[in-house]
Amino acid sequence: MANVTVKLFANLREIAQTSSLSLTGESVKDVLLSLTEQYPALKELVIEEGGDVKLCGYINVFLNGNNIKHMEGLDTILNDDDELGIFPPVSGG
Amino acid sequence: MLDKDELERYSRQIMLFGEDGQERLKDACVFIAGAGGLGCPVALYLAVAGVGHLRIADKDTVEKTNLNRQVLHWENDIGREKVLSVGDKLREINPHIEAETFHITIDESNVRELVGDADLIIDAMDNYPVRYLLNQIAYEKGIPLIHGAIRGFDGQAMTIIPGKSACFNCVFPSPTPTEVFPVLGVTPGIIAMIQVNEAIKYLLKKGDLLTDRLLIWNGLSSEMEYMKVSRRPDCKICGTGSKLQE
Repeated sequence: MANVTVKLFANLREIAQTSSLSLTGESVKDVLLSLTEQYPALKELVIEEGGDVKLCGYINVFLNGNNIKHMEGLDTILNDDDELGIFPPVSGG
Repeated sequence: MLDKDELERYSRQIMLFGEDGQERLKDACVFIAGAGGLGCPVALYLAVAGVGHLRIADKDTVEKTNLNRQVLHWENDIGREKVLSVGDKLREINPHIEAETFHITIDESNVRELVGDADLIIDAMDNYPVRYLLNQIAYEKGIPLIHGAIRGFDGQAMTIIPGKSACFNCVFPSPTPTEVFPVLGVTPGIIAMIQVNEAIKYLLKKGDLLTDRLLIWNGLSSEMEYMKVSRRPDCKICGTGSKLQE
């Protein structure tokens, strides 16, 4: 199990009322599930409804600054002190 | 050629990039999509920098709720077309530039003509559907696109060099839900300045562009973060399977 820092952006940060928290998990998926368990209101904004755990299409998750889309996605394995950012794009102008 | 008045007006930046650089800005044409929170400061700073040809499109008229952030629209402009309001202010602040304005909804039928043969496209829109359209046209025409978006205290920006760096669809394959978003004027101000800085660097071929990384601004913590991004082979605009591929 890795201890990681999770950073939340934009409306996710507003809902959780924190911009950063510590969570543990083996993979990105574990940490996201742990996050949405702790903050149920984030669940529908981050994880698509349905059986398999799947990110909402517009959510970007990045590990130490790199998009997990270019790694193993939700199965990407985490190490201690990794930083996981969860970023909903903003759309105003 | 720059005249005496222009040499004086731009003297402090000519120190940075020479008369050649200033001429390059004067000869440049930038298409600005939107004359709102991002579009106003983008147009203002491109105009004072001496970017010679600005083409600005927006469908809206000025409303009172715009005035907290859309800094080129003033109390007396309420009810006027935003592009007319912006055009007047730009010509007044710098008579050496041309501002061409289009009171129109940017859509599939007119976007090619609106963009024309601009050197750059600046995304100052407030919705993803038009951003996807701008990204597609940027790719088709090979014109760089400078993306910016904001909400509340948060913002993001990225420069796209078509065919070379990650495009808008590579990074944002799915649209965000639309909403009436909360916003403070300084947030589009900050993101617009990053966009204009990118535009000027691109036109002058100076510095490193914000390509293949998404800048994320968090105004509440005064932090900027960068997310590395790259072209996606499965991107429907610039990916290998795209129907836009030659």
